[in-house]
Amino acid sequence: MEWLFALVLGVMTATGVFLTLRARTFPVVLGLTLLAYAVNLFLFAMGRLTVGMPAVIDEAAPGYADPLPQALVLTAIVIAFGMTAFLIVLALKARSELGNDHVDGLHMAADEVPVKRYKPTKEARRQKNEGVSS
Amino acid sequence: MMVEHTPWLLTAVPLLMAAFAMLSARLAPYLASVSTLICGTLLLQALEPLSQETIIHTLGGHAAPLGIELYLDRLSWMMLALTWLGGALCSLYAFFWFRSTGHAGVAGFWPLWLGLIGGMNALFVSGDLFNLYVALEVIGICAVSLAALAQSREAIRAATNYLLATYAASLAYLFGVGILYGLYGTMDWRLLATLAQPEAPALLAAGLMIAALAIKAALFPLHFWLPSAHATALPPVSAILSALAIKGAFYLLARLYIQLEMPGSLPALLLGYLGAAAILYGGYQALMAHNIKRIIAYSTVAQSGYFFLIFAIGGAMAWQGGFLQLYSHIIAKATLFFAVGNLALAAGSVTLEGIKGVARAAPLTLFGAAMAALSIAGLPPSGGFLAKWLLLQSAIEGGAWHFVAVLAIGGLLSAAYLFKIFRYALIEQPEKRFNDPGVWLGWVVLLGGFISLLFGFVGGQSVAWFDLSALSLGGAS
Repeated sequence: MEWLFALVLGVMTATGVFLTLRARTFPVVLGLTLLAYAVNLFLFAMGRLTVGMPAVIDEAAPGYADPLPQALVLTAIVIAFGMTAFLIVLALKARSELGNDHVDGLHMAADEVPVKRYKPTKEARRQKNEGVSS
Repeated sequence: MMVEHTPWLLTAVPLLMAAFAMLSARLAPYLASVSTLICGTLLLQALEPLSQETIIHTLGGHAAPLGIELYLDRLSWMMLALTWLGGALCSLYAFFWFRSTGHAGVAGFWPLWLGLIGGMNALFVSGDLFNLYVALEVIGICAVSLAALAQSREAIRAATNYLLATYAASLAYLFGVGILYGLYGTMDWRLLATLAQPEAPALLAAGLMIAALAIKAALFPLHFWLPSAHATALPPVSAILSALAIKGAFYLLARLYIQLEMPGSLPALLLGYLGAAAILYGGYQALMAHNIKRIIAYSTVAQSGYFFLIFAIGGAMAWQGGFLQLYSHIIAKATLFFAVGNLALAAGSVTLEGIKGVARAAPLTLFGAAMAALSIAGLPPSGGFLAKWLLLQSAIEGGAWHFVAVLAIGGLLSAAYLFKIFRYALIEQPEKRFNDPGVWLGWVVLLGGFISLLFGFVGGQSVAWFDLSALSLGGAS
């Protein structure tokens, strides 16, 4: 079971990382969600995978199930859920404001554009020169 | 005894006020001042017991391996106190700024800002890796929402990138915490410090956590989200984000470094060299920018570089210098963002061209900003000067000449980019008309500038607390 679990986590993480490296918001959100899933499951597995064990140490039982990671994972799930919801709202807002869903590159703030691009175009230069000569 | 309840009260009071502030936008500033007053009193009365011992609060009466403990030692106290001071200044400025502009963001501002304070206070008193994760998330979500309050296209895009970066970083941090729990079965860092071994999984966990915190602290080259997010936010929010929000992650890195005793190790050296690169790169970008808010935002990238130098230089003096730099940066950077906000209000523009001649309309602001600029550029008699002097001296003593060169060039660059703002503001433009930013906004800047100068005089005594032996008080000993 541990091998299967580890394999699933590996596939999930790999998919998550792949999607996170995409250029558009939707795959990135999906990727981060998958990564959050993988991390939560990993945290859960760190209490060791046990079946049918008591959560409190019992002399009669052969082992115990660590309850702490389960409690932690509950918190982590809630936080991940909240973050994802917020991320989606923000991404939708960005989509409607900017008209595209690229993570970066398009629609830089005016002063973010490298200085070189501020050179006037041929057209503008010609107009300026004409203005000076007239 | 009241004192042992200080750690959780410091978190609970701002969060409670944040909840109430959500109900009424009109009452929110008063709730913020109540929270500030209560936190200030709590911090003052914790000062006396702290000179002898660390204040420990065991939540629910369960001690460390089973329960969660909150620690309040000298380092946490200083961070809390400086956050309090910087926070009070930001609240004051935000109150007057929102009053004079009537910006619609005010409804969201106060609850989020109080939530951010609660998260930062929680971070400084937590001694449990998972608690720290929760605190980091509270800070992250509040900071991103604050950045998005400006509502402009650029601000929304910058906030989205900020959120993506900070969320990815949180996941990496949580992954590291999971590995450490699987290895050692505890999340309390005092216990971890005694248990941790330099074995492969633990190093992987440390690497993940360091990378995550470096993103959140905007260490070059992971600073990509910072300049846009800080430059497009509302002026009070820029001040909060730049002065306070990124300091939490740095504090946590320093804590991990102290507790896990990794001086001279490869990650520590790497952090130091990246810090040096940040000083040069941030300074250059600030010099090239033509938006005054972006100049100050890149200045944050550069100034954060100084904190990271302490990891590579090492030694008690460098630590004192690094933390003094952190403290004076909180005040000076907040003041500069206030000033830039005022100039933008007065001139109606944030470009260097647009603020030409604004000195006539905002003399108080410019005077306060000059005092804060002294601290950022490292000129006497400011806190920034003392901090950079200590760093320089320890670099010379350690024979680290490359860091001496970086410190010198960094100082020149910051003097140059700050001078540029004053140069443009002082060009006479007799026919140009300006708005009046309001006298109170100017006075807040003046107050901030005055405090950052004051650091040059009292800073020496306050960092005397910070020799490494005092720091390890919070350790496993």
